[in-house]
Amino acid sequence: CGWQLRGADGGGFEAVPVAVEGAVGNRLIEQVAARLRDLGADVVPSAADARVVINVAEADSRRRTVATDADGFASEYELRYRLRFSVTPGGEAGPDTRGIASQTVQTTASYPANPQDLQGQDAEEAFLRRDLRDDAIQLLLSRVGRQL
Amino acid sequence: QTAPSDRTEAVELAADSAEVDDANGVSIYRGDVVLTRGALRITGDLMRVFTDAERQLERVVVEGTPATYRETLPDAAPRRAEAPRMEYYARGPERLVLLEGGELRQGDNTVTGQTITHYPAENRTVADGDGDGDGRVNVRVLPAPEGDQ
Amino acid sequence: QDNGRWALCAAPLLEPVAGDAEQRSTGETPVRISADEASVSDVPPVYEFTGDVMLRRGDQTFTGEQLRYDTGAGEIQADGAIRLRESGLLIAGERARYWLAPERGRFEGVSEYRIAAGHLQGRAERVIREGPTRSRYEGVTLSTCLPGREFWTLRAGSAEIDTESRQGRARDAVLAIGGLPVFYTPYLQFPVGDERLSGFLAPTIGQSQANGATLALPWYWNIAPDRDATITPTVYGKRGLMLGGEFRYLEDWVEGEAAGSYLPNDDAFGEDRWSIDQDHRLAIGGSLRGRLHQQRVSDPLYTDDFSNDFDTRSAAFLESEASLAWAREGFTASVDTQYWQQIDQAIRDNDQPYAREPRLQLGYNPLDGIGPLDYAFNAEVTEFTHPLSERTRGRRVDVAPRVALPWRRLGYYLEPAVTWRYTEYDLKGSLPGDNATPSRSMPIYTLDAGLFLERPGTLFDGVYQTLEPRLFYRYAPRRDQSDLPVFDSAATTLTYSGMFRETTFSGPDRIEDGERLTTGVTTRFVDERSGREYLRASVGQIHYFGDREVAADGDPARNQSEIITELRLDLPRGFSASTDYRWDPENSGNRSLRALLRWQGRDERIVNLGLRQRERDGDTTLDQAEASFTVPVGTGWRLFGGLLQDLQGGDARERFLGIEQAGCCHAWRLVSRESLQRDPDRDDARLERSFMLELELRGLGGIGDRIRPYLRDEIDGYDPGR
Repeated sequence: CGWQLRGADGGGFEAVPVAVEGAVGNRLIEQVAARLRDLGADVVPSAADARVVINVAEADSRRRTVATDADGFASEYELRYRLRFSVTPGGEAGPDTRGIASQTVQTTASYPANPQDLQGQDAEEAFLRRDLRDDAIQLLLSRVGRQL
Repeated sequence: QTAPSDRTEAVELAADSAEVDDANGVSIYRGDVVLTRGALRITGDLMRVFTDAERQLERVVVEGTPATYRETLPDAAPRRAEAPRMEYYARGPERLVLLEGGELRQGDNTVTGQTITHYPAENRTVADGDGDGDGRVNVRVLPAPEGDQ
Repeated sequence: QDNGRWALCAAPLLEPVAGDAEQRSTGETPVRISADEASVSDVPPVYEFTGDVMLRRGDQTFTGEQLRYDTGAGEIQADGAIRLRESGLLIAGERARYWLAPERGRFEGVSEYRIAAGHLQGRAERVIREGPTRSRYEGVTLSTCLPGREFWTLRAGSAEIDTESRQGRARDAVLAIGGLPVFYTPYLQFPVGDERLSGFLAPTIGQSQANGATLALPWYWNIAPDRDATITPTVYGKRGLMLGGEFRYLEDWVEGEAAGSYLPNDDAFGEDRWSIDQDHRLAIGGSLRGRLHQQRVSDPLYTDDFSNDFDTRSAAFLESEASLAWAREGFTASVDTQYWQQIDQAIRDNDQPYAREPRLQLGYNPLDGIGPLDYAFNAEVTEFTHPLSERTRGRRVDVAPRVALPWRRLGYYLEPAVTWRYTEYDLKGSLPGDNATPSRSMPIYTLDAGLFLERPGTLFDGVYQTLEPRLFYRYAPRRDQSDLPVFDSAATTLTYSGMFRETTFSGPDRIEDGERLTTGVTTRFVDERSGREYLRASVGQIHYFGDREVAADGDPARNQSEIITELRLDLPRGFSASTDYRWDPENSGNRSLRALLRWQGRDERIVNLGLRQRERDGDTTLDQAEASFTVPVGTGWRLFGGLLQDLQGGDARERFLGIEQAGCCHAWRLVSRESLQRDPDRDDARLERSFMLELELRGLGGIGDRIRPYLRDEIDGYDPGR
């Protein structure tokens, strides 16, 4: 019925030299690099020897109160993680390598507030932020992968 | 710093042909007419020269395509004028009248207008756009370089 | 001239003018004059023109009935219906004396002037131009509205405008709105075309049951290109005068905001009220990140009485934290500490939160393992403190080395891994067991496997579909954890990504034992060209083999978890949806639904709908609906609205309705808001109504108001331009 393994017809990141840049801290840059490596890309340190340069311009996560109890205290929080990125051809770019204009991917999740156990809530929030970040990176790479 | 009000220099005239009528003090010159009098020089195709009883130059009426006028000044660029018809009055006071749309130029400054009257002695010019039509006076001035204020 | 800002004006204040301003003062630019009559005398010539005189020089034209032009002095004297017009400026009056080269001049009886930079116009008894960009005005009216349609006008004894420094000053000024004088000030500074210049911001008038009539008059002070401050005196009818201030700075490696407010002797409360909220963020290169965030208030009711921000008002505890983190080539290290201020007085002392004072984390997670092996090491040392000495307190050391043998291909992956978890404590206060230094050491075996299948052809052309089945096996032996305290290990709510996580408790105090297999599948509809994900749907469940002793979901005997589904929809033409639904086939009464729908059209048309329900063991812990919208109505008008409704109790938790009218040179916003107001001598909170009215005189003050930030928080997706 037409299903085939991803990458069966080539394309995507397979053996593509990619550089990742951005003023968002090494931790996130290394996460994007790790996921790129999982997709078979050749993560190179400098833009000069990359076919494509992913620039992670901004990463911000925000917590919002979305439901309250009868006294107006928060009973449900929503976390939103937002990645703004753009793609530019690198030093090794071929003639038809296209860049991607700056765009944003966003992931959200919500979890109950737990004022009686703020440490537990804090720790859960940390897990959720990591999941949202990984999810956003996957969305980002899915968009970049199609342009290669 | 200009010439005295009544000029005394001699008047020279050259033309292809001339009709002189001393009795009435009128002479008509035709074809490449050039009148020079001291610093002034007027040219045109047809010029009528009127003299008074003592045969002194009283008035000149000149037509040309266009008639021209030039006045060399001791310490400034020469003043030039053109007009289809001009009248030059030697006295009372001395003046040049450009008619039917003339242009007066001195250095980079030009004045155009339907009727322009220039008084060489007072170094003064009056231009009139002849109010009826849309006749306007146009002046073009090149301002002195900034340092000159 | 920033046209965007004046886009709502019917016509441009000044049409562009032919000719080039730079040409004006160069030597070769001739001055052309036309008139009905002219006379000229002297050398250098002095011209006298009469009758509809027009003098043109580059882009500058001078008109008048009579005009005298002394070419030697480069001076013009004009009389009778004179008008100076150049790019960006118009001055019309009765008489003028003007020096062309320095662009200096005096205009008397100015019936109309217009300045493009700043979109300013009005009349003046006298205008003195002191150069190409500076001019002084006497007996002046000043407005950014179009002539004849002055919504507001400033009448001042004198004013100065500098279009280069983009700064305006007025003295002895009366502000009239619709012709009615409303405000006098001996001195007023206003920006000319650049709202970041110092000046008043839009004042906000409000009324609420708790605070009475309120008037806030913020003043923006642009200290330096990367430093500014907003000082906001606010008068509260029932409380007194509060002085608020926010200072913002931006340096190469540190930026931040420090805000504070102080209300001496609150009439309704009886004591001083104050608040501090500062947030400093350090970033050096890619490796060092630091943050200091402090939130303190004078008393637990402060946020309830004064804060406009929904998140702050709803915080049961205000967290202050300081952290420093370093990351480079797989190494990470961080230290952080926190402090809580209790706001919700209903929380008993025993339930007060622990604080990490401090927490130290170390990690090494290299990209390249050794050959096929990937390894990682994470450790944490945390000192947990608690206000009550009898509670369990103390230090926890947690070490978690991990080794994995990933087998990754584009089409599939297989990752067996072992994590060894060693956790020990040094406890004070009451002990969970009888051991002050309990410890636990146990392995966790996991196997993560997944397939990536793609199908190009789908119902929609240009869209391909993926199918991503995933298995996650986890086994951990049983360990006695009864004498370990619980500092931060609560059960995490199950999400689709969480089900495939090695840890099921939020902290290391508890580690689930037993054997389980998580199965799940995700399908995506992705755009061939842009890679944009239109739809993502996932469904998954955990299967437990045998009973567990320590179970995150609190039900060790279960053999299946709830079924978890996730749906994300992001369709063109602005429609998006996000739904998480979890239900329990063994109908233990656990169910949760989160459904958000949004429609976002052009011109900031937004409608948000949300439903959030949560049931635990049969009783409803959350059942709330949320709606918010904003929609432009006609030209310049806009409606806002929002509602947070508790469906269980049937009462509203927050309601607001707002209207905005924006015109060429003004905008006013009115918001009526009902929010829960807590009262010390009443045990439950009541919905209280409050109003906020804001008047923005475009161009007279900077951009910066209090209603739009509130609306931006309340209406998800609404982000009016700065």
